[in-house]
Amino acid sequence: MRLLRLYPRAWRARYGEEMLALLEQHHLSMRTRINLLRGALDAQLHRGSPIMSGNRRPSVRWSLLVALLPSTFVGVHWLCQLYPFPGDSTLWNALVVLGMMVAVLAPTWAGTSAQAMGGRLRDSAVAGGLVGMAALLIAWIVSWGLTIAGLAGVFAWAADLQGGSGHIAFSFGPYLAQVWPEVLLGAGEFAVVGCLAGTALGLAGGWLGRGAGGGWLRRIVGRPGAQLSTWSDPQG
Amino acid sequence: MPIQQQRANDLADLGRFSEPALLVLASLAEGPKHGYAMMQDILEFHGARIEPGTLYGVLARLEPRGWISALPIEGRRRPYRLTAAGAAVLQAHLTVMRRVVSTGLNRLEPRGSRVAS
Repeated sequence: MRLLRLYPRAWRARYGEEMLALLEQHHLSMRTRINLLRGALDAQLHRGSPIMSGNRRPSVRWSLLVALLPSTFVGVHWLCQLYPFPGDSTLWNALVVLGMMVAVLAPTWAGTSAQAMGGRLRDSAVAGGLVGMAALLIAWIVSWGLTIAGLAGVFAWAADLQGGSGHIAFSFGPYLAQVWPEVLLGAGEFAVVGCLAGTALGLAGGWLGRGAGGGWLRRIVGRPGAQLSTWSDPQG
Repeated sequence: MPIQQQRANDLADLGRFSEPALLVLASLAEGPKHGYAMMQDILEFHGARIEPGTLYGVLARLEPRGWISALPIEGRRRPYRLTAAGAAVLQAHLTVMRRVVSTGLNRLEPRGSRVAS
């Protein structure tokens, strides 16, 4: 049964054989196949997750994933600035707006998670600040990575135009030596802005998670518990 | 919050899996069953066809919570049984549901009479 291969290894080790036995008795309709696909996606998304195990501590993996999302969008935005797309830029503008929304949601989510873990408002502020700072710092690193990759591409293209004669030479060493103060300053600015904005958003998220209006948020991120997963993937 | 209400909410915390989880718990209340037997039983007493992906998504959520426990494998099939904690959650949820059903029916009755008259 190929569809079962889509489930995490730990899942298959725990439930694979009995699922196979069940599927041998069950008519494999299109609905069943789609349901198995959905089940595999669910199992992959919640691999070792508190939602599955009842142990509602927000996992580091999920926190990093949330922090990486805005970084990706900021990186795309940076790339668009390097290579402006002619004509309609609606898609890119939409991506930037989406990225900003996620960037706002990440520290808010962290703040609510801290409440869900039973923390105080101060913990929400710290969690929001850390996630906000991490998100913008990663965005900054991604931006510079794209800048350097873009420069390398431009110079390779220019060298090709010259017939590969090597008249255009570019060395990253002197370039980086020249720009590193600006890079550090920029990273510092991003870190401070991310931390301050993240702290404020974390506080807001904490307040939402604590107040009566935060029931739905609390339900999404869960509540503290003490049980351990019986099928958490040992390979992460 | 009363303990009963809290236990009922515990089941609701399972999100889209809360309804199939309720059906699985109700099925196991009769006695230990393996996956296919649960599907057949639920189809019989409720009319809902639970697909394998959903069933095992539910089992993977109920077992770590200690609401059901796996028994030794029989051939290639593993039966599951309802634990005391699972029975308490089921009891709490059904009690709340019974109150809702009873209230709803009571409130509908005079309206029905009014419409009829």
